[in-house]
Amino acid sequence: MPRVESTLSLTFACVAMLAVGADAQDWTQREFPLAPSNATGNFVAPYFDGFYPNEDGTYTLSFGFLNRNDADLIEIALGEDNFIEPAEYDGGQPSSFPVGRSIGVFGGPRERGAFGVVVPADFEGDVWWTVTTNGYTTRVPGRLESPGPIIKGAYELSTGAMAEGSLRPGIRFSEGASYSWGVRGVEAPEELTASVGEAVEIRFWAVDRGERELGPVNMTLWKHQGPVGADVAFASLVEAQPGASPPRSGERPPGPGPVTSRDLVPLPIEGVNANQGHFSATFDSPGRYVIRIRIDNFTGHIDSTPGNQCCWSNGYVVVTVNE
Amino acid sequence: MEMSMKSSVSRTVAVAFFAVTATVGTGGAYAVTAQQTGGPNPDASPALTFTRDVAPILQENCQVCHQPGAIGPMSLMTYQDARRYARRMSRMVEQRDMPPYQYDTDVGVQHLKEDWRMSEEDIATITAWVADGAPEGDPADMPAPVEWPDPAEFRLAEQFGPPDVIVRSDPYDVPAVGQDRWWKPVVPVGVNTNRCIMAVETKPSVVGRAVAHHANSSFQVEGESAGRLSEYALGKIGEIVPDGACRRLPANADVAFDVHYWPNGVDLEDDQIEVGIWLHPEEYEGEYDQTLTLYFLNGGRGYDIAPHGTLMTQGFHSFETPVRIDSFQPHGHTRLVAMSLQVLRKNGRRETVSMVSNWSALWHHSHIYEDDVAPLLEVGDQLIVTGWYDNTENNRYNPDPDQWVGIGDRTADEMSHTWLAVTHLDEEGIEKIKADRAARLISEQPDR
Repeated sequence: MPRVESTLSLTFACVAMLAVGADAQDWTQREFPLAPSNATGNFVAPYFDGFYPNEDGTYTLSFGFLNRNDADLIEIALGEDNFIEPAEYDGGQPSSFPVGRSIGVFGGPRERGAFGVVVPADFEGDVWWTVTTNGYTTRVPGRLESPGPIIKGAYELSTGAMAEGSLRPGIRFSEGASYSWGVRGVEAPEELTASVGEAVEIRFWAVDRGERELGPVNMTLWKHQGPVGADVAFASLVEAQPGASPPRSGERPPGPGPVTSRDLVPLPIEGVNANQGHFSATFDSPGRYVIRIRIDNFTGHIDSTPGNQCCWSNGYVVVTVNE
Repeated sequence: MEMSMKSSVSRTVAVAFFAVTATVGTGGAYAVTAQQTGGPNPDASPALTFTRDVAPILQENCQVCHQPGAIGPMSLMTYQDARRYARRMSRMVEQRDMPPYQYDTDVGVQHLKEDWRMSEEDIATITAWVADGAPEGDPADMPAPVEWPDPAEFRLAEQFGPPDVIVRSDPYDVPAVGQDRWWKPVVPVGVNTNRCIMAVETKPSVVGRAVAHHANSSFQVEGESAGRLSEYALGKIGEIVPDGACRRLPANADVAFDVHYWPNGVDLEDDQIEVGIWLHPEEYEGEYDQTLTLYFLNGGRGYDIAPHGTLMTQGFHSFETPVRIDSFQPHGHTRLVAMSLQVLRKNGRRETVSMVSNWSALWHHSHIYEDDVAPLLEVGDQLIVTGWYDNTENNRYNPDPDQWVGIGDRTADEMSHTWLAVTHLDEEGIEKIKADRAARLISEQPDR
């Protein structure tokens, strides 16, 4: 696996260049088993997380990613360095790849199910997601049948209840609308507009689902798409639930305030704001953005973690930001 | 936008994997004495025959699984059976794919309890018999049929009798298709005094063996963690605690199950996992505690394997007291292909304890070291555990070499850890073990 950047002694580098010429082998393409991870300079690995059937007979292919750095945010604009084939499925993938947060013992730092691609019931073939980071290209196929000679169903996901009864939470953007769930999720019915530096407020509704006692869900916010290098500052406007447990070590304290893509903000399940999410987004650059709202029930239910591939749902909000 | 769906899944999960995993369940305890069956007898008829030379080997090593109604994909009970699969059988034993006990024969500790490996002599007999045309021989030479244990019974019962305690997980319906499920009920043990465990065996139901990927169990007392009871994964028999050690069963404990099911095309209703526990007498206290613990190879951090790529992970561990390593069990999923256990002595010398070069997720053996060779570690010695992963098409269990593979609970993702049973000693204890071993070694040497 390549490591895109590192530091070589200048002296050694000069000697090496003299020895083998200016067109020396690209050492960044070497593999280094057991090499320590880098804070910066590594690439984004796209992941196919599996597929599940939809009620209408179609299938949703679930894709995620791993930013292989410890610190660096990577942003890759949709286009020649970040595209999906066949082209009819292109456009829903993220352009912003923050460093992930490990949740659960076997969660790892990768972000699962960041978006979904819906293919028809009779789909055959592959949906490839290709990502190029600093000149290094890697890609994965989404497919309904694994090619391995022995194990065929390893990537099939479920839509039914998990062992303890957890299901993917529901999310909606209108009070009277039906709840939607799944990786493909739901898009806000209206696109929003804002100005640079102006906070735009977004409200939505989200509920736990499951064949068990229901509880609160968490909100996590992401810059899903947007101009490369542009920053979106999120702030939760959710009031802390009265009597809520104090945050665990490393957790963000409940209540309004700034949030990042590493924060899980519990939504209230009682009171006038029950099951409501509320946050603001402030943009430092003009352009078209897609905000992803991930709703999960990871906390409190042992059958629901990222490593289990359950249970979260996505909501997407498009915001056009003017000067 | 997606709407509600209630398991209207119509896709078929390929069952080919489980045609292989179906060889998992009952193959254990019986096929452990293969090394004792002899090879060809040079004083007898020069031609190897099925009835005289091969059938006893199959009885000892194969038939527990390969008989009608058992989990092996074909029967090897009769000459006609064996003749039909002779070439395949020869290839499988020569490559040591069967019997399914992947543990290297030429490096590390070789004296193991519950060792399923076939002897070189037996392998040579089978391959030579096949090469000679697989003759049947005199039917009068056929050994008497073996009485096989009930596959629904605990396998360690042959050695220890019925378990003193059986803890059953709450029933769970496993769907025919869909992704992995993790079932984590908590049930009471029903023992109200502190006891020491002599042996423990986790037993899926007969039908459920092909879907119970793993079943871990831990003790809880009043909701608080109180130590590990056991770990089970596909193909594992159980654990035997060495004499003098004590794996503790706390009084009034509950067992917290952590069962990983992988649906395989068959609906299972009310499936239950059973943990059989054999206890020492109440007065037995054991000199030293034995623990079964998961040791990470990746330091608890993530890892990833590139499409068509390979990976190596490595973990280190040292102990605050002298210890004895009683067993070693690699754990991974479909891309893990090998794991080793080494000790880096505080003087800088590195010793290989165990190497498993052909590991597969179909058989999670716990390699239990014989008492006199279980590795001893002084304070300052370091364990080195190394795992190797193959995400290429060369790995036949790889579902899809085009994918990136990362850490995760589900079978399509990977894990990187080992289970070690460790007896925690003190200076007096380790010196006594060394002295006892030395004394036995001297007493077993022939007179000069």
